[in-house]
Order: sequence, then C-alpha cells, then structure tokens
Amino acid sequence: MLQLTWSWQPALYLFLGGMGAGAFIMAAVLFLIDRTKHRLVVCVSMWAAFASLAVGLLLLLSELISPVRGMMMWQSFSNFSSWMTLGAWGAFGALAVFALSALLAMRPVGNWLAKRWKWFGATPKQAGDAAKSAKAAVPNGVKLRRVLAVVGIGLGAFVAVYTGMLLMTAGGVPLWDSPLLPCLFTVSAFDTGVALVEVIAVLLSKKDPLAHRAAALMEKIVIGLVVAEVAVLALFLGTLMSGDPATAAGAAGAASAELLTTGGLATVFWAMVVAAGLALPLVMAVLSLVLNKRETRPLMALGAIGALIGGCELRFLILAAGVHADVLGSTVMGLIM
Amino acid sequence: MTEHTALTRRGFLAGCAAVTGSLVVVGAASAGSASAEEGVSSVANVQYGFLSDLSRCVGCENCVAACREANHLSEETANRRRVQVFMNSRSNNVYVSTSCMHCDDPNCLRVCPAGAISKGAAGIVSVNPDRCIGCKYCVQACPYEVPTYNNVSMDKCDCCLGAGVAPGDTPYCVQACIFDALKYGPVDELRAEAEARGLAPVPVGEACGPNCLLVGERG
Ligand code: SF4
Ligand code: SF4
Repeated sequence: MLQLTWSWQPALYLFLGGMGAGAFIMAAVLFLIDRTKHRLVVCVSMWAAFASLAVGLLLLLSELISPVRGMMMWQSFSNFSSWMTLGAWGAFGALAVFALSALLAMRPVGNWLAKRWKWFGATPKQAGDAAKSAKAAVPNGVKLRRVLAVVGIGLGAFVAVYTGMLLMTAGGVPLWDSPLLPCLFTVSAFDTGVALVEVIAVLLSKKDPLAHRAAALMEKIVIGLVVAEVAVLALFLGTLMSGDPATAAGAAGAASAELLTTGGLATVFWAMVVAAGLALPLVMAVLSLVLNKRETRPLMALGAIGALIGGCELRFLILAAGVHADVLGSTVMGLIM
Repeated sequence: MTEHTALTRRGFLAGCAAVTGSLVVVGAASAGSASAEEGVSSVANVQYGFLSDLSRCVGCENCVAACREANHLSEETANRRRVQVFMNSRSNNVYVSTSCMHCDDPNCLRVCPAGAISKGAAGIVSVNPDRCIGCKYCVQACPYEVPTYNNVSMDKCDCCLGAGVAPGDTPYCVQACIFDALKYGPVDELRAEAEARGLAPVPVGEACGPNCLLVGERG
C-alpha cells in the first residue's frame, strides 16, 4: 500500500524547493567570500535557484483543487498554526529575494543601476578608509547585494527546513512524524543545492572557471553533508523500525521503513538514494580532493548528478511510503479478538 | 433585488418566531443574532459524538445511503460514512460504521492553511467549501484518514449541518439505522449509558481526542 493522495507534484516541489534553497545558499556563500570571482556562476546559480522554487510553487498550485483561490494568498494562507501557511509565505519571500539577488548579480543591470541611481554606484567614504587599500572601499550596490545574500540565506534555510516540517507537523502519518525528517530534508536540500551549483560551474567552466579553492570548498562541503545525511537517514529509519508494533502508529512506521529498505520500494531506495545519491557523490568528492589540482570536472559533474537523482528520489519515496496507521482496525481488533 | 429583500424578511420573521414569548420589539439585526445565540446555547459547549455498536451492526449500509441522500453528495464525492468489516476469533464478520470523529483537538483544523475548517456548536467540525483550496493537507493530518476530496473541495461529515439538521439534533445516518447500532448525543451521556448497560465503550484511537465510541462484539 502506498500513499497516493499527494502524487508527483508535491514530491517534485519538495525536491525543487529544497534544491533551489540550497543552491541559493551556496551561490550566496561564494559571493560573500569573494565578490570579484565567479560572477557568472553566482549569477546563473541564483537564477537557477529562483527557477527551481518558482517551478515548484507552480506545480503545487496545479495540484490544488482550486488553484485560483490558492493564489489569493492573504485568504488561502491565513491560518498561521499551519506549516503550509508559514512555508507559503516563506517561499514567497525567498522567491522575491532570490529574483532580486539574481537580477543585481547581472553585470548589465548593475551598470545600468549605477548610472541611473547615484546611491547604488556611490562608494561612501568612511573614517579610516585612507588607511585601507582601494579594494576595501565597497560601493553601496555591493553592500545591498550582501544584505540580500544574507537575507536570502536565511530565507533559503527556512524553506529547506520547512519542506520537512510540512510533513512532520501533518501528524497523521507515522513515517513523517519525526523531527529527524526535517533534519534529513534540510541536509538533502543543501546537498542537492551544492550539486546544482557544481553542475552549473562545470557547464560554465569555459567562461568562468572555478577557482581551485572554491572547488575544494564545495567538495569538502559535499563530504560533510553526505556523512551527515547518512547518519540522519540511518537514525531515522532505525528509530522507525524499532517502533512498538503493538501500537497502530508504531506498526505503520515500521511498515513504511520496511517498504523502503526491504519491501517494494527497496530497489529504488538502495540504487538511487543510497548508491547514486550518497555513495557516488562521496567517492567523487574524495577522489577530486586526492587528485588535487588535476582535471576533476568530470568527477564533480558525475557526483553532482548522482546527488540530484538521489535527492529527487528521496522526496518521492518518503511521500510514497507515508501511509496512515490503521487506527480503527487496531481498536476494533482489540475489542473483538 | 426583490428576491434579496424577500429572503431577508423571511430570515427576520424566522428570527422573531424563534424568540417566541418576547413581546419587546427590537431592531432586526439584534433580534436575529439573539435568536441565533439562544438556538445553540444549550449545545454550544457540549461535545456531541457517535457511538457505534459492533454487536448490533449487520453491515446493511443504510446509514451510508441515508447520508449520501440527505446531504445530496455528488457522484464524484466519496461516502462520508464508511462501514468496515473485520473478522473475530470465531471467524464471524464484525461490522463497524464510522465517519468523522469530530475530535476535541482536530489535527485537520490545525493544519488547514486557509482556515476552512472550524469547530462549532455541539463540537461539530465542519469545512467551508468556499474557503477550501483543496491542498489535501487535512487528510495527511487526520489520524483516521477521514477527509476526502471531490472536484470542489474537501468533503466530510458535518453531522448533517449542511442538510439542515440543527447542532445537537440526530443526523440522518443515525435516524436510518433500524438495528440501533448507531447513536448520536453528548459523548459523556453516550459513555454513561453504555456503561449502565454493562458495556465498556472505547474511543477509536487516542490522537486528537476522537468523539466516536465503539462498544460490543458480535457472534
Ligand atoms: S476525525 Fe479527522 S477530519 Fe474528523 S475532526 Fe478528527 S482530525 Fe478532523
Ligand atoms: S484541503 Fe481544504 S480543508 Fe483540507 S487543509 Fe486544504 S484548504 Fe483546508
């Protein structure tokens, strides 16, 4: 038995939303580290983050029975005890900040704004500036982009966490009813976000080659995230499988976990989530670091694609395996057996 | 325009009729609201619920049919009441008729982003189809998998409020049960009555504080 109420649109949305949030965070970190490098990678990644989140939200809208009513956000997302409401507004805010950041990351836009809007291009003089090098003086436009990057990182992190909170706080599905699920989805969101930026960097490597330091940073982040994700995933499934089978919720949680690890969904789970999504990126990242300074673009691309496949499949599987507990059945059996 | 006026006048007259005994003529608006409050005050704070008797239910599904008819459920709308069959240790069939549990602390209401679900007089949990966006979050939240969806909105039992039954009055499913397997009333009373008959009623599960009690065994 599988969960069929929410089909592929919400699953894809949870993936795209998480990936978009993660990609923006990675791009913003690259920008904050050194605004003069990787301009193109940062700009394209921010647009990709915006597009992922936007497509995800459109998919979600298309799944509603009344999409038009859904667009009247002030009414349709007005109950703030619901994580769907919090998430809708968070994603909406993130979308706006991602778009603005991506727009300002485009060189022509920056130049145009600097011409039309004095404040944007001006470089304020501060006390002690004379002592600093010319490079240290930062135009207002860059300061604005830094603020947007930091706000975007905050909103992105919120969106990443929310994709898991949405499922956890539903409350009727034992598989989802665990604080480890938002942890898992958050780590996976960062993981897939970094992977998207890696794919973009490889594609743009002719025009905007990734500095060795940046590539190494991303590979190290990948290793950290994969290790964290394996730990959270193992703990998540382990806790479910050791649930009390005497209770309806415990039995349903265990059944869901078994469905994923040994049941009907096991092949996809082990091949796509574990092998492609976790093992492959880990091996590729380690190899890249070991091969230090040699041509590692194919390795990076391979690992990143594996991570994206695994992250996407993870959302589909967690949704599909999210069956309800048979509360009525266990109550009745308690009465008649 | 005329139709609107006529409706308002009819509503006003109905309101006046409800406060029989009162000779004081007050403004139309206050008369209406006073009568509305009076009509529900006796059941406003009392939690009503269902009692489903396993030893009496024969699985005829009269309740399911009566519900469909009285509430004019459209063809693509699923049954609001379900009769499920189980097998006891003597291999006899046991039937259980349930619908929404009108929970004390409904998960569906908490998660609905649109605020389309409310808990009103007699503890009845109902959905406003004009507010529902059809996100289907409520069924993921309901431990009893109660909400269903048609092409308009979420749909579930509202104790026949939509079919014109006043809060606290007996819904059509219970009226239709000729085997006395379904009861409706204040849950505390339902529990006390069952206990007086020597039965041990149990609620369907624990989550959200469901207001549907099960008693008895068949065979
Ligand atoms: S049984 Fe489900 S739909 Fe009915 S009130 Fe409880 S949580 Fe809501
Ligand atoms: S489907 Fe309708 S009633 Fe259910 S949570 Fe969504 S908006 Fe609320």
